[in-house]
Amino acid sequence: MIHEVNIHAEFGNCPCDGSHAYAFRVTNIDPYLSICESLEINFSGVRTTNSSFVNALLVGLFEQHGPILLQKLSFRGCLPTIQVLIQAAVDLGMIKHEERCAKSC
Amino acid sequence: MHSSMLEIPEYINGEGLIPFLESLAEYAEKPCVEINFSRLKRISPASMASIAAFVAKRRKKRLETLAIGTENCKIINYLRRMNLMRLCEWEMGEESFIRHDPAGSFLPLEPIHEVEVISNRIAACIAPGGDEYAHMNAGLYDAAFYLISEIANNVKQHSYGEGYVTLQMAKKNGFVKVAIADGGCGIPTSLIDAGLKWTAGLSDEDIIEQALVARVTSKGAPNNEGVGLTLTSQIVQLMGGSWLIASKGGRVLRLQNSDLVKKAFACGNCFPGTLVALTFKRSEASDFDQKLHKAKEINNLLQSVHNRAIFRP
Repeated sequence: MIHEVNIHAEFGNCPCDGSHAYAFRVTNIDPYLSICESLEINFSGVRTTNSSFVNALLVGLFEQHGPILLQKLSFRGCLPTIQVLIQAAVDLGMIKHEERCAKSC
Repeated sequence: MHSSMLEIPEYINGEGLIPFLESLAEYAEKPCVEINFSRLKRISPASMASIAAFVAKRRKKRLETLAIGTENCKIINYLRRMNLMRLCEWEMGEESFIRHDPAGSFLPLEPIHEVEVISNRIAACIAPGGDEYAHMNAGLYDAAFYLISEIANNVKQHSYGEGYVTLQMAKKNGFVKVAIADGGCGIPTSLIDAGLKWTAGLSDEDIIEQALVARVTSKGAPNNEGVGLTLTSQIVQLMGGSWLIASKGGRVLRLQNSDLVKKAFACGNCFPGTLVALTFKRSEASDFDQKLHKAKEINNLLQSVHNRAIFRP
């Protein structure tokens, strides 16, 4: 099963509030990761956003799951600025994942 | 009640800003303050936002703040148009002046309620048409939205809605001046109250400097990574600009092509909240996505080529 979440439908053109993104992640992304083959986050129609929003949406996911999540999660319809924000959130999540693994070793 | 008079000098823009912030810090706790506007000729967005934050903080503490000498002030109509007199509750009722269309030149002082709404309005003001991605102002729109929304998010979380924002576009040299100020507890208090051990023994200006380091946050995970202020200041530098943060007992200033300068307010006085003032070149914002990438790279927030996210059209 492929699960798709549509950011524009949920947050409009310019989402920027990290607390909203986090709440959305907990209820609309986290639960589907274990039951879906793949998950697509669709940013079509989103004109711009900021680090607060994208980090709250993604960093924790990658911190928790690490690189394996990239096999399952993809992004659609992202303008270049949004791609930079997403890649940075992925990278920050990976850094935190490595830190978490180092601590537990 | 005995009142103290804060005399505003002729110029509180440019080099007059810091001495004026010192005055606000000196008078912040006085029981009753009369602000004398009679000599004022030039004011910057940063000074204007600071006055609004000063009054808001005092109002919260039930300290009286009056405006005097306004009948002699040469720029009183400008101050009215910029909403200063109304937001400080010095003038109420119907407006007796004509409002100009601000598109592309200025945004009057506004309280920060909805971050998305205000960030959008500012971006649309300085980058008309930029809400369309193919438009030539799209980069400037992205830059303005990003910078304002990141700082305004912080203001909202720390000051509970008592923040103000304003901006001016200098047509002569193409610089955009943005100021956001709030009458909240200040960055140092916020970080100290969060129980962060590294703040022990540091001055307020040292704490502000540390708050600019990536991943330093008082708000904590999971919905905050502490990169907002870091990237905002970095992006402004990459756009040929300068910035100033004044908060509680300290201030940190970075002028274009200069080292960072940090200083305490005189006599242990405290700025009544936080001021973030940014100046950047309009022309440097067109490739905002590249500037954002560079800012993240400089602050070690990007990894190498591994772990690339998959983007589909």
